Amino acid sequence: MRHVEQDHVPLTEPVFLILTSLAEEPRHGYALMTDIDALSNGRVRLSTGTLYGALSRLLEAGWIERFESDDTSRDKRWYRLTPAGHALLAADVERLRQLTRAAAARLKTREV
Amino acid sequence: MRWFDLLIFLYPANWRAEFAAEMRTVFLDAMRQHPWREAAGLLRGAIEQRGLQARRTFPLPSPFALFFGLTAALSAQMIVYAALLPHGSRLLLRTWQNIAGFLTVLFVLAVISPAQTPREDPAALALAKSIYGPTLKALRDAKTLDDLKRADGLLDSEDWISGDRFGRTILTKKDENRELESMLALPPAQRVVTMEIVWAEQDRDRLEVLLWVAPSEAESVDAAGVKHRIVRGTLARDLFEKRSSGWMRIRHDKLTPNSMILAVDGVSRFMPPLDAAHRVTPGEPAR
Repeated sequence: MRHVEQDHVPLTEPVFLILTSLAEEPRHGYALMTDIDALSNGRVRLSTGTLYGALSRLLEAGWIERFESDDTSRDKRWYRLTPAGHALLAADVERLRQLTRAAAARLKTREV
Repeated sequence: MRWFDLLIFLYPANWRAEFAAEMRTVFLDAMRQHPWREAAGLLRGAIEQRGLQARRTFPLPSPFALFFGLTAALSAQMIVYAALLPHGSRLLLRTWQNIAGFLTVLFVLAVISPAQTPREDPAALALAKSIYGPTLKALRDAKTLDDLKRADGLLDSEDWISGDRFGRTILTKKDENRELESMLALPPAQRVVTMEIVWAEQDRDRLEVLLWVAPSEAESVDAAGVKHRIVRGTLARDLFEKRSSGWMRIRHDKLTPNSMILAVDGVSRFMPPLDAAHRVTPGEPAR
């Protein structure tokens, strides 16, 4: 499965943030928006249109799924990461980790 | 109805059916802080979704094929046009006029042309194969009844049904479970049938697979002594639904009788054009 994940990274920032938010716990639409706002220190504020466009693509790709909760109503649906979404996020985190490690090492070399 | 419902109404109908209610709720919460940004986001989202839908309805050839095709057509036209023009005429101006006319015709054709023939979706085909493959292997390798049940559970949902070609339900999951015991008595190779996927198509949470079940090829000699290769089998349709446990088959429908002739000499019996006797025409006499 690893090659499949590699095909989809790097993730766009909204997708990365949505997956990151759902990695913590399942959320509904508005909770996702506010969490992404907090995660990015207010730098990324997804509008409703952008959020649902991204959610639709993620659902279609099978990286997130809707699920039934006790308080699920037609107006408030919950989303969670699928194992494929989890693996995809992990692959992109690893990619970013390698990049930041390399960048930090070069910065250090320059300072010395 | 609120003013922003008009913006939501701009989204495609299938999108609205799926997301409109929760988008409205989220929008109401979010617009308290940023009303204009939210409204603009809804409008942009509607345009994006309409664009996506249009691209799915009218799939374009690859950008490279489009670019080279157009370049070749334009070049050929310019060469022919230049060769036909009398010397000393305003070649450049008339060539550009011609190109403009050509592009206008292309544009009109693109707008009025009907949807292109649907193409097989390689992702759906791969998905279908990835569902059947492990199940067939698990059924073949099963040693105990529990193994068989687990294998069967990989494929069929608890509410799975099987229908005959008249649409009647002939098997439920309970019936299928009862039959598993007799399956255990079969040699492993006989527990699974060969399948060939004719067509696979998926949307967000459904997958349709049209398949030939147990196709077998044999040689047959007709009355005139000519040999033919005859493929017999059953045409069936499987429907899958994406559930929290993954893709599960919810329905299996047999569409034709068993061992029906599916193809003769490599030509499918289900592919038009067939003869006039198979064609439906307006004004068929009532029976």
